[in-house]
Formats: sequence, structure tokens, C-alpha cells
Amino acid sequence: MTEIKPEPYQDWWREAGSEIGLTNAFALQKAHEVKTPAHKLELYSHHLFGWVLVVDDRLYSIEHDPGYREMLVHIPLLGRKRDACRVLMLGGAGAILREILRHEFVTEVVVVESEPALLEIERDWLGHGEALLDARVKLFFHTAEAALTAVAIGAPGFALFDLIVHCSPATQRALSPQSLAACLTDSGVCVDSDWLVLGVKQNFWLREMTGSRKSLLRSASENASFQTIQSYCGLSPWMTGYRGFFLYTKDSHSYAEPCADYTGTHYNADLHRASFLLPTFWPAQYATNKLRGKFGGISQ
Amino acid sequence: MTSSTHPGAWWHEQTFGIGVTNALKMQKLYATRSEFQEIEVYEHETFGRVLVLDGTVQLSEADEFIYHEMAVHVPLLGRRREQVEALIIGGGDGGILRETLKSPNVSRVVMVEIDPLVVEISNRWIGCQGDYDDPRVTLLYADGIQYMAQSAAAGQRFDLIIIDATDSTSPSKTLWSAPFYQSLAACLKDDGVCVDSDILAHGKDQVRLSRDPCDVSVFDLIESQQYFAGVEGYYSKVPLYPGGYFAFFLYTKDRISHANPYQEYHGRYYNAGAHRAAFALPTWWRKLLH
Repeated sequence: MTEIKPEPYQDWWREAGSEIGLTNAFALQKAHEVKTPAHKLELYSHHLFGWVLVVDDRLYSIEHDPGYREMLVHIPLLGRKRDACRVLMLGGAGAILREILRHEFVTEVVVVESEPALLEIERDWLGHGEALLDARVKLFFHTAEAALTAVAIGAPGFALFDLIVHCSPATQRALSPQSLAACLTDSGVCVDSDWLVLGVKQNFWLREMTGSRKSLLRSASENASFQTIQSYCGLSPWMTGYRGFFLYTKDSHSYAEPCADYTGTHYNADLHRASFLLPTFWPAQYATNKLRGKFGGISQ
Repeated sequence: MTSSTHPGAWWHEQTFGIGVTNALKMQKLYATRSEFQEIEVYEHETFGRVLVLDGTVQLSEADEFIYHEMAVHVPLLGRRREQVEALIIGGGDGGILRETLKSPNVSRVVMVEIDPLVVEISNRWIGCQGDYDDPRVTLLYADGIQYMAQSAAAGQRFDLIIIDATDSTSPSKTLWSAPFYQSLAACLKDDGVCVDSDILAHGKDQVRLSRDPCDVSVFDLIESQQYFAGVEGYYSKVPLYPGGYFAFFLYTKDRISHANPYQEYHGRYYNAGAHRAAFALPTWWRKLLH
């Protein structure tokens, strides 16, 4: 029998942002805090999940979260055979970078991050210095918009990419599908994610409830920059528990079948295939590689 | 912190030592204490009515179908059986009964719930229950362990047993013990299947189950094979359950897999693809089971 003491209520940290009346709550201890002209960065420790990085009172990353990172990265990387792959990473999450670099066919990763202090924490506290120093990695302290512009004008180091990993919450609604599509090769893919909220009246994507700008999903659904938006499902311990991943492509390639065997802490080939077998309530317009549909309310 | 326009006050449950949960802004509609436990009903603007027992979320209107469908249709459709006799241990909210009765192959259901007030309050405030007047149904207010011991002694065994009890609230604290599993095994037919479930939190250095503090954990069962020769795992996620994956365990004596449905069925969550997908376990979980 294991002796377990309940955590005192008053010591819990609760995430800001409560548009749906639900947030994450963690029993945390603060270890480090930095205030920059743009952001407040806080680092906490959690006894089970390790470091918890909070940016502007919002959860940014959890050290032990392989279910998110591995499913975000390995499905687009392994869902199509490529001899060489250039990756653009919008957001400086070192743990995601580490997963990308596990594949030898990844020849170059351009990491775009506008907040240098974030990368310092990734390097000094979260143990991602080695990944950031990998010879294949190029760091650019830009906004994501500036990076996309650099590709558009053919700036050195910004040739077209095979994979764009859209993992920066701060820029999530600022990017247009046209500019993202313009940065991809014809066989390229862009991946991002959102939480599916199961409501008693209707289901919806969380970003539809937050912020004033359109999400990439909605924008891309409303124009023809991408031929298809394919989704897959990742179950998660956090938030609403259902993370939708979206693959934006120009050529309608299905990523549902892995082209190589790879086993991670969380990811494996069976899980790859299974993530495309969706619950009945999943929005049908993004299921099983159907062509882009008109974005609307999600019926139950 | 951003203020919410949702009515009510912030609330969250005390978890089983994992230190992560959901904070919910909601209004309390009803609270009482039964002979066995504290029973509360809240209203949440997004998730509807929320049933809380001894401070632990049991279900919400918005997500209850996930657990109930996956607990019932996976064992029922994972192996062809006719004239299924089913036993529900607990199940006071009635959702398991509702899903069980959807199968035309089910000929009889015995539901053994210890706390009549949970049934009464769930029927009144939540309304997700099955039809207790269905002629296939026998509802008993009794202790599950005692019922199973008596049932086994009388030679009455079941094809399907669904354990739908709370993990850590007062009435269940003595449930997860050797006598319980002995009775469970004795009550299950040789080709039957029992469904159990728990919350599985995958940390950096360890995996925690919400029933870790109990006498016998699922991992003890897997390791010992004392009561069941086969333990098969599958999973889902119930949004309002805290901090982990929702793990289902199928106990069998004949080790027949239930991973592939023999026919299609469409629920709000369940379909044949989702059935198969639920058995594709993350690598870290595969290692736990093998």
C-alpha cells in the first residue's frame, strides 16, 4: 500500500484563461522567473511531471509530455517517405526540437523564436542545450511572420521547407495560410494542434473561444491555400484531453500510414495508425483525409 | 488571471497524489450526505451537470458517454456472445446500464449498487440512466463483494462483469482487495470477461494509478495472474477526470483478446475503428503490460 498525502489546496497553481470555465491546476513550486519587455516567463517544478514552463500565466510546456511532442513530430515526419527533410519550427520548444532531430533524414531545422529568454531557459534549465547546438539547427530570433517573409523574399537560409511545425501559442493566430503554404514545397506539410472541447450543447475547438483573430484551422478552411486538412487525435492528460492535430497539405497525401518503424517513449507505428481512427464525435470534415470542408459548428 | 464570465466559483478535486487536475468554474446545485458518502451536483456552463462523490468527479453530462460506451461496447463487441448475462458492480449513475441495454445480445443485467441515494440523485439531476424498468434488469442495493460471494456460492456466474465503482471514495475503499478479486473471479464464467478501469498518470520516473493506495492494484493483478490468466489494456480519455489517461482493463480466464470488434456499432464515441484504436497503446504503457 502506498502512502499518499493530499496536496494542500492553497498551494495549487491554476492556469490563466478560463474561456470555457476549465483550466489546468497543478501543485507546483516556483524555481525561476524572468520578466522581459515582451513576456513573463516562470519555471516551476512538479514532483511527477518535472519542469513546467509558464509564459504570461499560460502553460507553455511540461517536461514530461511525450504524448504531445512525439505525436506532433513523428506523424508528419514518418507519414511520408523523404530522403531529406528541411524543417521550419515556429516556436523555440527544445523538447520538440529534440524529437525532430532523432531522425537522420532531417537535414536542417530552422528554429524561429522571438523571445531569447525562452531559449535561455530551454538551454540552462530544461536540458536542451545539446539539441540547440546540433549542427543541423539554425536559430533565428525573429517573429514567425518575419521568418515567413524571409522565405518569400528568398533570404539566405530560408529556402522552401518540407515540414513546418507550428508550435508557438503566441503566434498561433497571426499566420495566414497563404504565407505558410508559400513556404512549403509542393509535397510539404504544416502541422499544428488545438484542443477539442466536448460541451453539453456543442463541441468546438478551444481557439475558437479564445482571442479575436481566426485560428489557422479556420483560416485554412476558408481559403484554397491547402488542398487538404487532415486531422488525427492525440489523447492527453491535460486540459480537455482531446488534442486535434492538423496536417495542412497541398497534394492531399495521407499521413495515416508510417513509412518506417520507429519507437519512442510514447509513439509507435500502431499508435500512429490508430490516431487516425477517430471517435464518432470527431468533426467529420477533418477526418480520414477528406477534402477541405467548409468550417462550421461541430455537431455532436 | 483572466476572469471568466462563467457563473459560479472555482473548484477542483484533491487528486490521488499526482498534483494535477482540472479546475472548474461551476455552481453547486445540490449537496447531501448519504449513509456512505458526500454527494454533490454542480452546474457547469460548458459541461452541464457534474456529479461529485466525496469530492471526486464521477461524470459530467458532456462527457459521460465516453466512459460508459467504452466500458460496455468494447467487451460486448470484442467477442461474439449470445444471451449475455451481465453484472454491474456499482454503476449508480445508470450510464453503464443504459449502454448495456443497447445490446440485443444482452439477456439479463444485475446491477448491484451500495448507495440508493446515488441512484436517486443521478436519476433526478443527471438523467443519463438506463431503463430500470426493462424486464432484463434487476437492481439490488447491496454490497458488491457480498453479492458476488453469494452468487458464486450459488453457482450463478456471469458472461460480463463491469466494475463501475469509485476509485477512492468511502464505499469503495475496501473494494480493491484480495476478497474482492477472489469473488470476482469466482463469479465470472470461464469464457467471460470483466472490465475494470482506473486513471493512469504517466510521470517522468513512474506511473501512478488512482488506486495505488489500495490493497491490490491492477498491476498486482497483472503480475500475479492469481485470479485471471489474461489482462488486456485499452484506453480513452474522459476530459473531467484528472491528470492522466483513462485505462480500461479486461480480465479473462481464457486469455481471448477483445481488441477486434466482430461487428460495427456507432455510438457517440464508439465505432469499430475507435475500438481497435483504443488497444494501440503508447510505448510506455505496452512495457507496463508486458
